[in-house]
Amino acid sequence: MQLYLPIAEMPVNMLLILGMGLAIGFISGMFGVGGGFLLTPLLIFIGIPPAVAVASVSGQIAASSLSGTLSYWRKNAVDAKLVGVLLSGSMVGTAAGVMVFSLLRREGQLDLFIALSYVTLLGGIGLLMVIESGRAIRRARSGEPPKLLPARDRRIASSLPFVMHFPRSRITVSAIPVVAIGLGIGFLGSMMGIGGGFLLVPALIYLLRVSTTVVIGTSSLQTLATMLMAVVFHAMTNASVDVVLALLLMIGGVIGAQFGARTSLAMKGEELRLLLGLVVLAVGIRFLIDLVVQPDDPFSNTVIEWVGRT
Amino acid sequence: MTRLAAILVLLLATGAARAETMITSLSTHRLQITSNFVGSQIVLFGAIERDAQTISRAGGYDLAVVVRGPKARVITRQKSRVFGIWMNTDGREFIDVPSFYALLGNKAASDLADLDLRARQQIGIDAITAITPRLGTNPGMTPAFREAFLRINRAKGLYVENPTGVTFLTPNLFRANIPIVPNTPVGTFDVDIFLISGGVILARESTNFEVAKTGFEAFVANAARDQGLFYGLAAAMLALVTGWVASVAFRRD
Repeated sequence: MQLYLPIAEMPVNMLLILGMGLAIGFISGMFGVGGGFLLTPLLIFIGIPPAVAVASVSGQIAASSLSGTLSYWRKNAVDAKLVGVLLSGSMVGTAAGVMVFSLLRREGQLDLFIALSYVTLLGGIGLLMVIESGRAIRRARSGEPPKLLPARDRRIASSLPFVMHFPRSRITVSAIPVVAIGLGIGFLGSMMGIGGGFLLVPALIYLLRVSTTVVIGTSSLQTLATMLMAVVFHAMTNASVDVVLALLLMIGGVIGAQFGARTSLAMKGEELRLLLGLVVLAVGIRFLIDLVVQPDDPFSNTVIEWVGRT
Repeated sequence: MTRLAAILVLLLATGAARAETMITSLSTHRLQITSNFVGSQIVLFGAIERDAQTISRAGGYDLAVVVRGPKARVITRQKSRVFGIWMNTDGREFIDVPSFYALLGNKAASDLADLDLRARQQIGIDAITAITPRLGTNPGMTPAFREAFLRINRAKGLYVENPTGVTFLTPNLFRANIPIVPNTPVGTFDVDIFLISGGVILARESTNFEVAKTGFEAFVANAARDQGLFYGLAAAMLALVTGWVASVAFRRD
């Protein structure tokens, strides 16, 4: 069934897009990540212009992170205060990301930048996850007890000014690193069409030492807010949000996520992390191959501006 | 004597050049893109009329139908290897080039007329004017960029040449199917019809049609362009509603 996308200005197979949303939703529900890092490259691969793909996926991530956020909110596992401080950074980061995005698009270096970011981030994070979960699996097999982080108030970077206390996360920390993390996630998220959950969760755990009980919920709310901003900013600056595409992705995504979440209950945490690490690593390698292998055609055409089109 | 003959021939030739006229009609002047649009076509019908004094042409009639989509500024970029990575390193901007181009004829472009005449009338892909103002650091590469620009558009189906695109129903009645590709640009398309005989243009007709989004598609596209903020807020609301509906529908606790 073909459906014409009004902003991408091309027809797509409706079932293909729904299916992609389902599959990525399944993965996102299974691992508790947004899945943007898989969905955006897939859309670009089937011919959706990168600008439209990045902007529309932001909508899909917002939708799927809302259902996640609501269920964590009911379990009281969200640190809204921490999100508030993170957001003050990510608001600036998202706006800057969208602006740099349009600038790079004009300069013709957007694809390169997206590919390099994917290779560095996905390659690095994927590798770390595979190593970490591999160790955890080996530890579990040898019967050693897993290392537990002590659950008490921690003071991090307390030499910096603006020290704040976050009771839900059980941390006392300077606002500066929190805002900086928000800034970075917002910037990368709006540039790369990713929610940044797979960056934020490790940052919250390892850098801020946030209590693990609220990490996922907090990350969900932060992702939701960042992606909603990204949608609005992309719509204002680049007019590249395709609501028809976004709606198809959302419907597939939220349904897939439910099945994914059920599957994940049947698996061990470290196995899940190993699997996700492998998926992340594979996407990173795919982008690396595209960068280093000689392209079929070194030339490409880009319409810069329409003449006399009203 | 020879001079007189030359004048006579010239008179006959100019007289003959006005002797044929064409009447053409498009099946529609407005092609609407709806949600199930997957490409389409517009049919051009035409009749050649010849006044009584004109003798029939020995070579017969040739027809060239040139369709040009809305103009755009396009940049063709070239990738090359920098530190082992393929990145865009050079490019040429082409000004006011058609976003869509089709030549429909009853024979190949090179057999219709010589390149000089075709370049003046933009008949044939090799005759399209593609001016590039900034030559960059290596002006010698420009022909390669031009060639790549045309080749990529051909591969995408945006630049088409069809030597059997015009069908003669009778010696004086013809039909041409103008293809509209699924990823068609939106806007006004100019159609120029050339009646050619022996490499000389006998008559020319011009018309146009419009490709436009309609209904919901037009509403969405206009809102995205003119009301970016509200469009963005609406898209954000859509995300919230979908996510909320899903969490209600699939709630397990």
